[in-house]
Amino acid sequence: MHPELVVQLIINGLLLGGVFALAALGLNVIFGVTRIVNLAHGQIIVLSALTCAVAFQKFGITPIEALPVALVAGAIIGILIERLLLRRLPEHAQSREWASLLITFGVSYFLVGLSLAIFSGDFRSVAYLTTSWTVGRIDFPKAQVLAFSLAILIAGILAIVLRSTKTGRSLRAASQNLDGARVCGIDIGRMRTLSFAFGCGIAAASGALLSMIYAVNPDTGSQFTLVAFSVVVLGGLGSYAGAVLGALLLGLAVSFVGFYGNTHLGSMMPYVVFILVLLFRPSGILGKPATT
Amino acid sequence: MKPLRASKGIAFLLSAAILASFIGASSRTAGAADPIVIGATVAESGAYAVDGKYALQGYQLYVNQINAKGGWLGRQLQLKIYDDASDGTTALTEYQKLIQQDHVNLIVGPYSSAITAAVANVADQYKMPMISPEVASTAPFKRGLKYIFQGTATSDRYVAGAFAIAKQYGYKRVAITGEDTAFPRSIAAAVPDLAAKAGVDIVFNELYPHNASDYTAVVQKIKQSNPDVVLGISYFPDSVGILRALKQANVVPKELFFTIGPAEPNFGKEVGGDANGVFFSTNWSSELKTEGNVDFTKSFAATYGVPADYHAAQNYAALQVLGAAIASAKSLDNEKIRDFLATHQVETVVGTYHVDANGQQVGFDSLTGQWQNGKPLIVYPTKYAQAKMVNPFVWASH
Repeated sequence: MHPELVVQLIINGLLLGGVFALAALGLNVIFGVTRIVNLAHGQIIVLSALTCAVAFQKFGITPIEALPVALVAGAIIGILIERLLLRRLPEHAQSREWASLLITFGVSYFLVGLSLAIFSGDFRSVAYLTTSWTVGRIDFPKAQVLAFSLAILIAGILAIVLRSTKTGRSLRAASQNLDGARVCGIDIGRMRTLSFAFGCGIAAASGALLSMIYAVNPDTGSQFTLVAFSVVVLGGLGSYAGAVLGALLLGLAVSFVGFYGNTHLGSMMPYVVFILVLLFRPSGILGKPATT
Repeated sequence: MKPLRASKGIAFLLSAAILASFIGASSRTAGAADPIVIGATVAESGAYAVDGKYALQGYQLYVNQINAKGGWLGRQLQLKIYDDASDGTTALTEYQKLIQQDHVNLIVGPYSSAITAAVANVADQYKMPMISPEVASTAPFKRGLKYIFQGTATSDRYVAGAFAIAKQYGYKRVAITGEDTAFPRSIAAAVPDLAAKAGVDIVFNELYPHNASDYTAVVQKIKQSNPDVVLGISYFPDSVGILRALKQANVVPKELFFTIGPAEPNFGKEVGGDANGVFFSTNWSSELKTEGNVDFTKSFAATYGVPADYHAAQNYAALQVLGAAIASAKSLDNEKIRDFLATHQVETVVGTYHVDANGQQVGFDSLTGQWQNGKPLIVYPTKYAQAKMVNPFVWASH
């Protein structure tokens, strides 16, 4: 076995992990505060990726240039989903979690239909930054390096915002103890809206970068939701460092199992990991055990 | 208890809807002036949606044209299409519905080998002849079925060009990968024989699952095998994915061949300059001097605003063949139509329809194309060539 090959597999795995992390962070932000699993997450990624592909092909706008716009547009979609739909659920009803799942599930189908109507079922992709930097004999694909860096950057900014700003501390308080936070005068409704704005904004931003890596059509959204969900469960629901760590481990697993085993086994890894975590460490790598 | 009541309500509504649809179906009676209804499923959503759309447009264009000319047997044609969502089980249910509930007069095949394999037995079960224009896999024709006929070139012909090119340029090492589903599997099965005849060694051979999204691992293995030729037996999204991963891993094959993904006209738009030099297989070209091809090519572009692809041509051809069978039978008699399809040759836009005793196609051929300067051109066999092939392959700089 060549040491170079092993290094390349590690790099491939870490970069793939960065892509996974980028796809998962938005989902985690929303879950952390609202305890809602946003099943429309992947569709927002895909809607953004498709828009970026058309913007690139028709007007020459690169996904990097489109990224800030995607972030804001995604945030607006998030605010709309929370304000128009989820806000209407009764606060303490036992069925709240189920109802929110059904609502985001419904939104996911709405977004698939919307994307099909606008973009048709064609697969689209952006032919930009398709080459690699080569150091020695190790390849670093540019698009993946960018996705990886952005994932780390977003996770870092989130950590700082949540620790050191008033809004961030309010968000954390709301996620830890709803009634306690409310007694302290925190506007819970505003926190929920904010988390959807962050979560969906990050999802759309990641869609911009993922458009350079994958060919997507409106039906591929659910695959992103599944991978994102596996990553978040592995890292610990609501834990940002955990999500990044989980994503990197998963990327390494797919890279090595795919190479030394086969691609079928590699593709199974997110789901194998998902089941193993649920069985043996339901709180994830860095998640705190659930307290109710 | 509220949720329970809600679910009862939904169950009631569902049963009411199902009952209503039965009532609707049984109240229909057939008359001589009624349209001839042709039923099929097509992948309008899911993984095969891109190719499925062209397949459906091929059917639609033929029906529109024939209706303008007075239809078949003096009756107008009407298509009854369901979206099978690229899923075989769904397609099977829908074909049963088309036959039992919608009482269609004729059936034609769905899109893709995997889905045709799932529905092939229906034709024999109801003794309804079914010409299937999108089943390159030969497996359904080894089941002893009597009512299904292959309306496309057989799978082994799709990659014959790849090995002919390798032989011509003296390439010795081929790495093969592809989607692990019916159509790519049937092509992969034909590869060892073709490779041996061309004097080419298979240095890597591994398929990946349907809906795979990451190809870095399989491409890393291809890189280790140091091939001259990379042959991807792939549809559209996986062709794009493998192409990207090969470029990122700095794999530079001398010949890069994907079976059908790059046959789609929008391939060049999605991968940019990297399309140039890529070989692909297709079963039709606007340049073919075949029955009605000039009219088909023009009408398709005028109707849908995009150039036709080979799926559209094959589905159009299937209805050309079925039309010939009905003209010969002078009725919708299933047995007469079946006998015609089994024994006659018919000229179509994709070539001469001709099947063997198992219903397997021996008439239609496959062509090899290559992207050059952003355009897909036929380069092999030479008698159909629009341009000379360009080798070896190089990556674009973007």
